[in-house]
Amino acid sequence: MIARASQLGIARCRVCGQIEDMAAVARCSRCGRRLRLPNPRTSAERSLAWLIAAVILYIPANVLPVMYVSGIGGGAESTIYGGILEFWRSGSLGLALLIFGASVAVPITKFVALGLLITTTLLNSSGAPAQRARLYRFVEFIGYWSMLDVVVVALTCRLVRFGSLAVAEPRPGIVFFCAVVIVTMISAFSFDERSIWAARSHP
Amino acid sequence: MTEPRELLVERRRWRPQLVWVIPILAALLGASLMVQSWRSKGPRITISFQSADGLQVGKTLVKYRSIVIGRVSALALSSGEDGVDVTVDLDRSAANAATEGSHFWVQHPRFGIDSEAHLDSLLSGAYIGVEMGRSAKAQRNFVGLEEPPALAHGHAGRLVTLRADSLGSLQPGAPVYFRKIRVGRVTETLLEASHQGVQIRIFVDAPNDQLISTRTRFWNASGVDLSLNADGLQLRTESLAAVLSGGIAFEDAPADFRGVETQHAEDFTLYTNRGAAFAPAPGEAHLVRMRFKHALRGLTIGAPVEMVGVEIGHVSGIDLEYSPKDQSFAVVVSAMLFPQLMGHAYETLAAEGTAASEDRMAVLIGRLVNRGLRVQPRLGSLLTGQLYLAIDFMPASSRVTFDASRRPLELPTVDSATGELQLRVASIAEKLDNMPLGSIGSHLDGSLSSLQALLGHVDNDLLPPATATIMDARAALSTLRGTISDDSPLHDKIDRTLEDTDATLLEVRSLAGYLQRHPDALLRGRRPDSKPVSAAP
Repeated sequence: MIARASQLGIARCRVCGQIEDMAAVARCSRCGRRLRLPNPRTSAERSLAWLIAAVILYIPANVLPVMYVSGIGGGAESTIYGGILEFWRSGSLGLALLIFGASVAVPITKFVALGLLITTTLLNSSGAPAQRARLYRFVEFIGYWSMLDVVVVALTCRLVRFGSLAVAEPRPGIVFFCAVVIVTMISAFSFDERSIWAARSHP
Repeated sequence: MTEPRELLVERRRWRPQLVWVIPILAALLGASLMVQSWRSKGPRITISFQSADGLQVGKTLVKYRSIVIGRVSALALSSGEDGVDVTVDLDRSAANAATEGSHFWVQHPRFGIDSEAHLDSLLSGAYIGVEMGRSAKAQRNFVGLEEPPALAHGHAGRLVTLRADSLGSLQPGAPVYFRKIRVGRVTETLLEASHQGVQIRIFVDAPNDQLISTRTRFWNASGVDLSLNADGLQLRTESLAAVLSGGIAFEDAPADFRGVETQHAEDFTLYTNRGAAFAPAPGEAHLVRMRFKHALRGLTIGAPVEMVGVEIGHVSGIDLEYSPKDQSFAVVVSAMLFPQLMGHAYETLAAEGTAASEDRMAVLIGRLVNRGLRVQPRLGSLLTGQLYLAIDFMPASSRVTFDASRRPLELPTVDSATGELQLRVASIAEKLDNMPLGSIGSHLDGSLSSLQALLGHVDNDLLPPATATIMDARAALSTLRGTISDDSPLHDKIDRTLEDTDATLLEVRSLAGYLQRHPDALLRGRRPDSKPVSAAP
């Protein structure tokens, strides 16, 4: 049986990577950071809490309008879903797909992937750790693209200001959407990648 | 170091971490949003219209006094009758609109000269207007008005109904003026039940509705009233908008007005113009006939009948009559006379009791005919040749018998004044004929030759002395020029005088300066040590 570092009381500093013996020191001898043994349950639980918060926030983000565009002939508020439909109907398939990808596909993929990772960790599953690790890296990767919607709305509202001709204004939905992205990032960050491999020691 | 320590023992008992506050907060936030949105949602109502022209799902707004209170959420064909059902989601604040008595209409952009052109809807598209009901009873299904009501939002004022023969160019929304100030508008125009005329409903805003009384007269102010009379050319209009889009004006009748009194303060007559509105009441009409022996070209139906220059009636019919007895044709003219138009004369007659019955009238007319009362066609206008009938006293005319019992009364006539004019012109031509034009010509010839002789005398005797005088004058002028020229002694003297004056003025100035500094010098004389001219450094 291969002993794990945690079993030996050896911890790695999360800041500078120094390997320390937890029995000897409580803080990193190099950078002074408090040392902690990885705790799969705690990290998964924290990650789960953030994930649930993100899923809850995702509902108002989609139900509330994200942007109000007024032009000649009146104004209209649009939700993310409504915006995608509008672009799709007006023939801008590329734009519709892009917005769909950034605001529907990416967050939901993240929810599902994180949920899977957290559940398996909490269940102490030892199956397919390599794939789960890859999944985690994938979640980190697509996280970059989640803020696309927020950036689009921010840019549009800043650029489209032509008085009574055309005005775009943000609406509360975009704040929730922004919160979803941030909370999901925190959730992913709270998840300790090492806990994927922790279950090995408890066959 | 190789053995696992107690550090590794997992805690079996689960203690909630602080991080669980986050999802709870998120859930609370979401729940509060849901509650808020549910609370702000107002009633959903259905309005049926004939057509959904200009309405768009999710875009068309419902406005009350220009404030958005809802939005069209669905359009569907009516199940039963023709038309469309418009589903509207109202805001919670506008729940009053979903009560009994509310009216809905589609406000389309409308072009007009009046101020309520609704140009805003031209850009924003049609919207649904609301007039809130006063009832507290809720209602969910409404039948929409096809035309926007002219009076929305409970204006204070007064509705008045006017009657007219025809509508003219009046339209709902046309302005109503009082002394050229806009005080109301036409709200509705409709055909009378009998199809004999039109009813025009107007609304006069408070407080100007106080101006309307039984003495008020309304007239159609559309168009331009151009009249040419003894005062010159007169142009009467209410406003440019009224000229183009029609309008109504009203004013109170003057105190001594003898026109038709309006019975009810709600029902008025709309006169065609201002003149008609203030025309005196014609009173009872009497039909009379007149028989003329000669042609009456230029007399038309409607031509005025004047009594001593005052119009008291008009021609109502012109007919030909053939009498087989002497095989002659006569022109029979019937006319409607309104004795009341005679004004004070009628009042005097009425006081006598003559006006009471037609028989007593006829007796009076018989006496007047004996005094020379006749009807005569006269030329109203030399340009158009229009005739009118003049009732006048012509004592010189031949006596006639007047049948007072005949109905309608037949008034005796005399020949047209046009005939007299022709006679006069003929006599003038005759006199011209008799003029001794030949001898006038020979006299004129003699006068001209003597004038020629006179001119020759002027030429020979008068002109040479005149020439000498002019020469003298020229010499005198040249002498004068020498006197006042640059190098003349006079000029030199003037120059010197001016120089002296200059020096004197300089002295006076220095004296003035000294006196300013030493005013006491006037009393005490000049101080010996001071200099008159300021020599200050």
